[in-house]
Amino acid sequence: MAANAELAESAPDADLADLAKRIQAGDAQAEALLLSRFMLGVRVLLRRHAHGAPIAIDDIAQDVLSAVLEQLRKGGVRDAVALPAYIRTAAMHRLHAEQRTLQNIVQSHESIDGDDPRLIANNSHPGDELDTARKARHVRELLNSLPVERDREVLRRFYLQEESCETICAALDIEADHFRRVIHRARTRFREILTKAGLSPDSE
Amino acid sequence: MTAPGSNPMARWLEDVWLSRYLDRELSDEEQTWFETYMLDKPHILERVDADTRLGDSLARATESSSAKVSTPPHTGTTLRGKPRSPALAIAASLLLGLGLGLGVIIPGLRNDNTAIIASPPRIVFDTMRGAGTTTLSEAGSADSKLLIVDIAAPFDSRILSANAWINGSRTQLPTPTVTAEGFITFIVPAEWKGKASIEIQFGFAEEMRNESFAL
Repeated sequence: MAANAELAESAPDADLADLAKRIQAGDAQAEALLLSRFMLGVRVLLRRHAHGAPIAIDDIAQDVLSAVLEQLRKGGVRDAVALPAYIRTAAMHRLHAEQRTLQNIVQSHESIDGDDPRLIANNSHPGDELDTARKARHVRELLNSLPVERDREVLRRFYLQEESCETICAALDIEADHFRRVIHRARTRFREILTKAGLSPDSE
Repeated sequence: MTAPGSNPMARWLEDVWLSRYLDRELSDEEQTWFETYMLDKPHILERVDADTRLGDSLARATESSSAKVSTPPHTGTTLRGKPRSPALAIAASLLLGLGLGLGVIIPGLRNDNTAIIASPPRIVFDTMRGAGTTTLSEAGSADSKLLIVDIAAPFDSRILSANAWINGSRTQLPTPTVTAEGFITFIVPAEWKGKASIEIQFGFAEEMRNESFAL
């Protein structure tokens, strides 16, 4: 689901302590408010930390918030102000568990036949694989079409190799003071190219 | 670091945190704090998700994405940058303007039992980028012990040095970093307002120039 569509689901601010109290008292509307207030945040957080791994983000987000609701019903969350921290921690623990499971599956398959771990873990339809491969090739071509070589290199190093700013600056002879402007420009240019090609990352 | 409260920060302050977050310049502790803060802030989440999707698009487009699938969750030291030195936090707690951005200074101040400030007073000097630019002053919270000073850096300039002058005596400030929007930020004691000035040495292709900003 696109981020913008998810945003529409977000509820206006509600006092957390009051919300927690109402949920404990069995107020179904308060439960719905809590879900709509935090669902987008949990999804975005999980997606960011999943690093593109084939993990069912929506299912995990649903599970995490269901577990939080269960705790609230039982009065298990004493400090309502700490509720966002509790939700984040629950989400991260659940994601790490999923990542460990995925890693175990990948390792066990690798030890058998050394197949491509992405195919094993993904378990998707061959048609989807083809579509994904086609899109990937297109994005790769667009990345290569960026007119400034440094933009390409900065994006590769920052997003793919997750190199630190210091490492990138040293490797590409960029002054540290200018790094943020360089990465900002590179992001903007690449996003423009993707959008023009109908591959806006925001609309996936 | 204390858990974020329900009061939102001033929007510009959120922007600074967000910028640091997206540039992976926050420490692990700061990152946790900000991720907790943003959890019910759709306007921040939208920008974070846009960045995530951009990175995912790139990852899918290259073979190196396969390495990500089996990457276990990291803890402790990361690739995001050098571990923050305790000296930096101490310096921050002494309320010296670090000029390294709010992601650095605010946690240090919190170590000194200073609560996060939703709306500190702020002065913006946008006087060096051509006609029509101005100095802005936002009153902020009267309880704030801090003053945020934003200075627009001239185009194509580098920051060579920064000093604060208070009652005729000079305090050397760490060389600040320029943001993507072309600003440098100092966090100084609120009582400096009306009493101190910040002097910056800008370097250009063929010259150096000192500029003074009275707070």
